[in-house]
Amino acid sequence: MLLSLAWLKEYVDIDISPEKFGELLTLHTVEVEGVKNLAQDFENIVVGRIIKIEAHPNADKLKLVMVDIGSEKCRVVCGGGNLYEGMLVVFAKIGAQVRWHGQGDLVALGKATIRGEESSGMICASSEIGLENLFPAKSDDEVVDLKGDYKVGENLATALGMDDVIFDIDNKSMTHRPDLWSHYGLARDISVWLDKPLKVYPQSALEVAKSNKVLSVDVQDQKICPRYMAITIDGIEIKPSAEKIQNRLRACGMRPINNVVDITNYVMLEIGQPTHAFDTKKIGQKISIRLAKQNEAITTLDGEKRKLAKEMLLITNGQEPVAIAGVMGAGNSEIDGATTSITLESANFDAVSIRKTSQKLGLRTESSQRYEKSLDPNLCAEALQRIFELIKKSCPQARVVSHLVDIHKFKLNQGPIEVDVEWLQKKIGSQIPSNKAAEILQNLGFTVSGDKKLIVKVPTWRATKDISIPEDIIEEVARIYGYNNIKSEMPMVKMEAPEKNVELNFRNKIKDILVQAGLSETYNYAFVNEAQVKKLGLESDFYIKLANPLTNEHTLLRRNLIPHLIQNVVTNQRNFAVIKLFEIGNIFISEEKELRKDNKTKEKLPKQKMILGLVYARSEKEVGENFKKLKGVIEFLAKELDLEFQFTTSVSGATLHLNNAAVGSLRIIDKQTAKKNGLKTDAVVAELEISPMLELLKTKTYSPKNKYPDLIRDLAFVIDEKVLYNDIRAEIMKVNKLIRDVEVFDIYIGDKIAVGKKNIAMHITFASQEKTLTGEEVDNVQKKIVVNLNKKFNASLRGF
Amino acid sequence: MKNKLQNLKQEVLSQLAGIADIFDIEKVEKKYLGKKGELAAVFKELKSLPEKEKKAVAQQAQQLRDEVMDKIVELKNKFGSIDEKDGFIDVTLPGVKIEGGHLHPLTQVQRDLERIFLSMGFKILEGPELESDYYNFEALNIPKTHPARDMQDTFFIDQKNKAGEYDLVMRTHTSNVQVRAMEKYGAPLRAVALGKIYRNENIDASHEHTFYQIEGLMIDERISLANLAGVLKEMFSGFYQKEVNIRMRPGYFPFVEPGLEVEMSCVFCNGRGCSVCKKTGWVEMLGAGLVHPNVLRAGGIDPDKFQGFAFGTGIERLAMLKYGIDDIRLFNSGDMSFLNQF
Repeated sequence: MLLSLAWLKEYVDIDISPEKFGELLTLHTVEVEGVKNLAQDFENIVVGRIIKIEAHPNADKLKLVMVDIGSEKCRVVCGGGNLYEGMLVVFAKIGAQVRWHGQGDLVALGKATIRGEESSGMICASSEIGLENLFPAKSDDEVVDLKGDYKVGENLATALGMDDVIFDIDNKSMTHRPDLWSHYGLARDISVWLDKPLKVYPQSALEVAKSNKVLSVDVQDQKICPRYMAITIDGIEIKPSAEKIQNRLRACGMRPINNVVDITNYVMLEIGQPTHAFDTKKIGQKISIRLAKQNEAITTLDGEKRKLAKEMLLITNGQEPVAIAGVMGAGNSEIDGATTSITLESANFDAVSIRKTSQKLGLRTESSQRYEKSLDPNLCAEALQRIFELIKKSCPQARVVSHLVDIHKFKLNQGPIEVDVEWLQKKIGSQIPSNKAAEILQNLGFTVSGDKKLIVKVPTWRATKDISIPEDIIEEVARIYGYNNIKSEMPMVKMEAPEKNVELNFRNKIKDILVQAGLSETYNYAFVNEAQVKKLGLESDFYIKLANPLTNEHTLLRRNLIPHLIQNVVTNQRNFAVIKLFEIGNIFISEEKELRKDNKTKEKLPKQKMILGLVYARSEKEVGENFKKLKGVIEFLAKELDLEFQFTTSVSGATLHLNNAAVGSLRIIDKQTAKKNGLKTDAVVAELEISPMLELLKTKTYSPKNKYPDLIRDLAFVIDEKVLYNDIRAEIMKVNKLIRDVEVFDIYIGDKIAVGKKNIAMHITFASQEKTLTGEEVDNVQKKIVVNLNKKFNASLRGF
Repeated sequence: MKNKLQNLKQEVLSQLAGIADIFDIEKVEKKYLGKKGELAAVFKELKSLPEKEKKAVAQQAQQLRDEVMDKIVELKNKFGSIDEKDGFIDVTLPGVKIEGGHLHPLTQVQRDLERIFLSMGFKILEGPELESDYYNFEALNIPKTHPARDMQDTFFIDQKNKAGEYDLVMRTHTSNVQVRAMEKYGAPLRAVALGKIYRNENIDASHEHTFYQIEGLMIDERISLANLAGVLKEMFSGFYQKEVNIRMRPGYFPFVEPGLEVEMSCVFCNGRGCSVCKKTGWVEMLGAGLVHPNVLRAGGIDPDKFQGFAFGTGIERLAMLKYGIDDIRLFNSGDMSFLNQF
């Protein structure tokens, strides 16, 4: 909301600088997001009078114009088509900020020579100073003709009454305060912390006619329409509203339309009550407030045809809707130039109903924004009186020709609320004395009695929802007292070592190990899209969908980390030869359920689990290089965690197992998939579940060094190329319990051995806990190994 | 002069005897044998001595120099210094590159925050990123029709409940952990929850739809606004490793009453005013307040006996201020030229 300082000053005396005022407003009431001094735009722009016009010697369309600006006389070159001697113009002095021909950015005006003639200043067109609304130009070469009673040399902002300071208030910071959505409401709060009296809101009693014209109003549901006030006013003459009203509206971001509409808007900005004026001729003398019927439609003032839903509240003329209650009027009852009689509505509608309607229609208006905060129904009367007063000023012939309709049924919860002062002090953490607290509340409009226990009656404008419990009272006292005056203090509580978050610690440990292994951690979005998933040959069926995605790129919740890791490679492949990344993040599984949705039903949320994703990418010199590298990383991780993965062949790489349960995979990105995904390098990705690793994690135990020496024998076999190392190793380990370890150290495939065969060389470690092994013992076992491998794989021992 | 030489000798020998490593040798060598060393000074002084004395002293000094040099060579051998036999090494050549990995800056910031709060006795909690409407809104005193729902643009999951409503959301804040934690642990409770949150808003250099928050919750029998201020001051001071002041002002969040916005004294200009604090000396950092009694009740905690404070803030913001990062999108970019800097 935009707030005018000049307007506020009508109700409370503000004698501090706008900057200081803005700061205090933020510290006590609402957040100021920006301050704009309107006069700043008009620095060096003044009212001037043309004293002489001469032809430009070198240009037909240009004139040499002498302008009196009070302090001096300036000669300028001007192309204005509507110049005349004696004309009052907007004159930009050297240094003024103007928009050339109404386009582009503001530029500082400098001295110029135009077609050989010097020009020191500029006579402005309205678009050059951002006042095209105030002074609409009929042609491109028209400059502003100020006409009227202006003082030559006066700053334009002052002359036009635009020397105001506008504060931009963050609406979020007053979501809970229906009373603050107006100048008077804010002035009330301001007066308390400025410690200045609040002026009485100007209004005069309504001169109601002795009911010659009947206005009949029928409210069908008083729950959603707790109050409906209306009057019919004749003697209306539609014209532009007073300059002050127009200026104020503009300053607060509203477009002036005509006197009647402007006055209703003006009063809304003044006390926060939205109202609506109908053309009496168009609606007749009957108003009926009811819910919409199925399939009913309305064309709103913005020209949109809108389909209505059953729960939307309508203002109707007995038959068809003339307004969506509290949201927007309809075109069919709009005030226009021919309007001579208006029917003025000042009503209160249920906040929830208005909110639902406005949400469903996607139509948020100044009016609906205020209603949905729960307005005080008492405002209706004040607004009506004030509007009539202002209309009377604009149209002296105006008179109320109906009786005053006031159908109401509302009860406000004004308390009283009991507030224990000691409790209040305890919660604030500051010894604010009882009388100080009471004084603050009284200044805010609360009625207070009692001492140790304050009995607080809530004023109507705070009683709709905002203030209902003692905690709300704490806020009032604390913010006016000043949060800054509360001294910070550490809590006095029992010392206690916090419970350890085992899962988080474990994930941190994994991260540390991977960083040690030279990988870097990346963070990716949880969102993917169908195409992205399909490009990797993954099914997109079980993905959880967003109902309202932001872009087509992010429509699904990820079920694995691979798509983004591949994306990470694409991002980096141009600048980095080797890409080694990992991510630990949540994936979302629709078909499994886990945490409870609430504490009433037994429904559960889709399962979410943290998994580890890894990627290793570089252009391979040899097939399987990246695979081996990434497998090495995983083995390093396993070693550090004291775990052992089993690897089995899968269609696209390997499956990882822990204790015979599949817990992850290693996937080689094939050439075709790589191409589809824009990969220009070879990549291997891996995924690992974290919880199975955590389950198997045990405290490390120290094993003492073997007293008896190990014996290592190197053996090499020629064996079918496709026989897996894992199988060979398992076969060897099975031979004898003296074999403690088998480790491959070389594999050879090539022209020195038969096609389809490989030579595999291994260190075989023999050890015993009981004695020093003899060569003979080991020889026997070794022979057995040779025999077994031959039997099982047709392998033959190869000499070195 | 003779005496002086005697003393010098004793001094050198005792220092040589006390040498414990190779670096000390160089020091002693420089002190006594260097161009500006003590022995050089003795030789200089010789010139001013009477002729007959000169010869004897010179001889003695020479002797001492030889003795020291021998001793130093002996020591160098003992401690294994490099000489020509070992070959030449250009020590100015770069070393062999070690390719270390890097932790994401947000992980580092989160760990730092966890460290601070663990040390104050706070548990570290986590919660689901895909959350029910109940824990994300309802239980936090934000019913369906509440205008505060507009304050956070929500991603809904395309899955309706029996009443035909979307009741699953991507959590819009880490505050969803509040009531879950109360249900699990009851009161008193001291916990922070860190994690990813989601907002349905367009992204630019300062806005993200996916970011991280830290939520703090402390419930006990006597918890005040003053305590909130104390803990937050500790958090910021601990995080930026300097004395930081905080400033509280009214703010609105339905799950706290009173609600506060908290500003931190600018850590860049120490409050003098700079571009980061927009010349105000204060930087808006977080939302906070005293836990609303309705929220305590939702968590099964008696608001007449217990009270508490809660706060929440974006972790990216802390990181951006700490490291001078100017674009929030970098955190999720996966760009190694960014990641490798941390």
